[in-house]
Amino acid sequence: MTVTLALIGSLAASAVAQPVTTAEIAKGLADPGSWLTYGGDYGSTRHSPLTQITPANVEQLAARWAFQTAQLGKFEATPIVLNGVIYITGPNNTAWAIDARSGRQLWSYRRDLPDDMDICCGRVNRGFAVLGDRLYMNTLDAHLLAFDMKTGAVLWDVAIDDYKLGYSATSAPLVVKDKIVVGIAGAEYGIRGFIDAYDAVTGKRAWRFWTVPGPGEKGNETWEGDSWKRGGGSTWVTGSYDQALNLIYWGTGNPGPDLYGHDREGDNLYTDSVVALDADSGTIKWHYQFTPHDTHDWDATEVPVLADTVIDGKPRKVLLFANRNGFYYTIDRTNGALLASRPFVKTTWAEKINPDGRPAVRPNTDPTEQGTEVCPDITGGTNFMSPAYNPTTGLLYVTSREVCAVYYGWEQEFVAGEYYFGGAAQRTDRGFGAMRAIDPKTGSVRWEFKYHSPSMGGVLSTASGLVFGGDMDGNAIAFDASTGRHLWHFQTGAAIYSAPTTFMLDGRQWMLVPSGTTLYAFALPPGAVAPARAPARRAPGK
Amino acid sequence: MTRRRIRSAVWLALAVAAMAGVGPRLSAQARTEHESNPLAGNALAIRQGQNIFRGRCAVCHGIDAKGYRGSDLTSGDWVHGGADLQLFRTITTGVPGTEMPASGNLSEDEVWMLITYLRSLSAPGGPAVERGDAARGEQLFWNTNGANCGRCHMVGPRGGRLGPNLTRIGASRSASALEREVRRPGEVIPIGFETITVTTRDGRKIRGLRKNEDTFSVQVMTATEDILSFPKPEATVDPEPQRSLMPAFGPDRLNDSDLADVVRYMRTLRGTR
Repeated sequence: MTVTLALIGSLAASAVAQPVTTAEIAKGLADPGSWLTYGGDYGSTRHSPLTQITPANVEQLAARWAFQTAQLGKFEATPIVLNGVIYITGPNNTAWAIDARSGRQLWSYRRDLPDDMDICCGRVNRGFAVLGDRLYMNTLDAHLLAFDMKTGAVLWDVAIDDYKLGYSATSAPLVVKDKIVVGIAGAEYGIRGFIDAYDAVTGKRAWRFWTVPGPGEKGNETWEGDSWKRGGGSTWVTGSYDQALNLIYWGTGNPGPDLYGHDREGDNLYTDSVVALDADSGTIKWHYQFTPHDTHDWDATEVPVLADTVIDGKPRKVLLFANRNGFYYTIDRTNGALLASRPFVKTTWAEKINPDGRPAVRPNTDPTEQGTEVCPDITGGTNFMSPAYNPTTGLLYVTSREVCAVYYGWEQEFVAGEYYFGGAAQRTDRGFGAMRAIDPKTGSVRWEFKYHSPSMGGVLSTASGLVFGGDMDGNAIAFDASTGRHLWHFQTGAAIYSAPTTFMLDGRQWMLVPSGTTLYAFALPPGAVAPARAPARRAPGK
Repeated sequence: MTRRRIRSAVWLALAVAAMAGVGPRLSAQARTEHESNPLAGNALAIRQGQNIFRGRCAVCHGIDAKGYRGSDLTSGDWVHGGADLQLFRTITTGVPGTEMPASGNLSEDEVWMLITYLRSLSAPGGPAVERGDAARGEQLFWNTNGANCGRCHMVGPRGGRLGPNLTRIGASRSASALEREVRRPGEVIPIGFETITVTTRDGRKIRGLRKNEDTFSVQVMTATEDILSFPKPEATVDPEPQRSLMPAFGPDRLNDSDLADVVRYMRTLRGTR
């Protein structure tokens, strides 16, 4: 018994966290032992400086432990990693703290969700945010929770909005200064979307930005009649933040109803857009709408990636965006101007994006009662799965999907809180997927590696010149970042819906891959790694 | 419409369940308090139901609901029960062991709309009498000098392994769908039975059925029922879309009368799950 208690004491000690500051989050992945925000850094590049795992030795990468959650559903989360502890959220608002060395659980959490909740698109969660000694999580019943990191105890619980009206929340929150910024889901239920910021200490709401403007606000004129009231524009994937410009960049979802547009004539701002918001007030500085008056459910809830690059000899602060509608975009993130655009998958609804930023839409591509075939399909050329950007290769790595669909659309009566889709879509064939490396200067695809099936797995890039991805058939895969050559894979046994993450612990580089509801931890065999200079294991109490 | 009334009835049921503190956790699946279809005969519900059917059901049951890969929904022959509540259950939970999935995110009202639409299609007077002689069809099915279907298809414990198991085929296919599949087997090939040719690095070619495939491997059943696995990209895979390993039984191989007998026999196959 004494031995058992001592072991528990040792594990608990490793969970003692130094309070996380916004300055540390702003350093991104500079601290090799941590992963502190959803996209790795505020630019959501998911590019790690770690170099122990290389193109030369990645072949030896092997699973060291697996954490099985015993839950139904699937992981879509990016874990937070800090001081040897992994914090990850699972389906149905479950969550765990896991000892990174052993894969053993430190604490677990499960929310008692209401029975009358109607969730359209998976009872998933994409992860925690961390600040101080607290974790933050959005819930399916549209609440924001603050947790004590050491125990998993809930410190406060605030309602973001009413789940009975169709609101839900699945994304990881974003910490910006002293605020917790959250997005909302529910555009399949005729909600009116928004982005909220809450005080990190008290949970009091600091500001709300409505993604569908109300009467008297600019943009409301792009909605027919009172259609803005049920206009959608959800915000269910975490955005990015530019500290110098003090702007938050966030993607917005489809207008409602998804596949029927005749009740909402107009561009339907700010749906299917990226919006740039002042981080302190939530006021909009600029927007860029990818798909005006969308009728194909092409949410722009992909991850905006921030990079600094040189285009036509000029240094530019850019925002890189591979969109569900099949086009890739490079945007000037200081003002929203379009710099480059090109399809990265087969795209039939528009010929191109015009220099003014609007798509040249082809006729007869709207859904009809008889059905209209359009590419890409409803899940899109890509989706919520995070891309990664390597500043050395200058390439954006995007999980790409090649699928088309027949879209049906019909008029639908709106009832608050009920499914409001206005149609249906049917894939034309099984399609395929690919990892594609896009050059942001031109939007052209530099290399690709084909997947047997369309994938929903996210991406990780490392400074050693590796790219990691995952496919729908269960493979975690490593590629050469310059050439796309396949270097390693591991069959995890379930479709991968998350991005891999990486960190250093005890002198070893670890890689985490959530797959199905199992979390795998990979590392090189001890012989393949140079010995660490000093034991890195923390003494109890430190 | 009755939407609000239905919804409040559902909420009432949930509240009662919550107060009683019993019962399993409810999933997002639609459930109903009604004993029979509250939208029966409603013209708007028929139209909405048709829309839902086209988007969700037509790929298997055909745009006219007369059956394609799935069963004929216009015949009035409901294998899993034809009462409103039985249809509601079949749509919302699917049929285990068959290709019929649960309806996913359809709401209660949408399920009733679908049923309203399907009722509007049903033949008056119940299922039509099917032609053909089942006993003779059974002989043809198994006889090596007849159609010899048993060479590749199992019924219960008997038969070959190359083709889909037909133990329950009569429950999931209409007569017209079965006739089509015998005459033109390449038109719809189920997953796991697609024809592929695998070429190995040393130039060997193996033609067979794709049992599974991912980015890095492929698993094949050969004509001799051997199951082989090959790594990719060392081996390359050439699919043959719309080409089944099953020969097409044209009128020269199976005349219309014999076909009717074999199909009649297959329609009796509604074996254990």
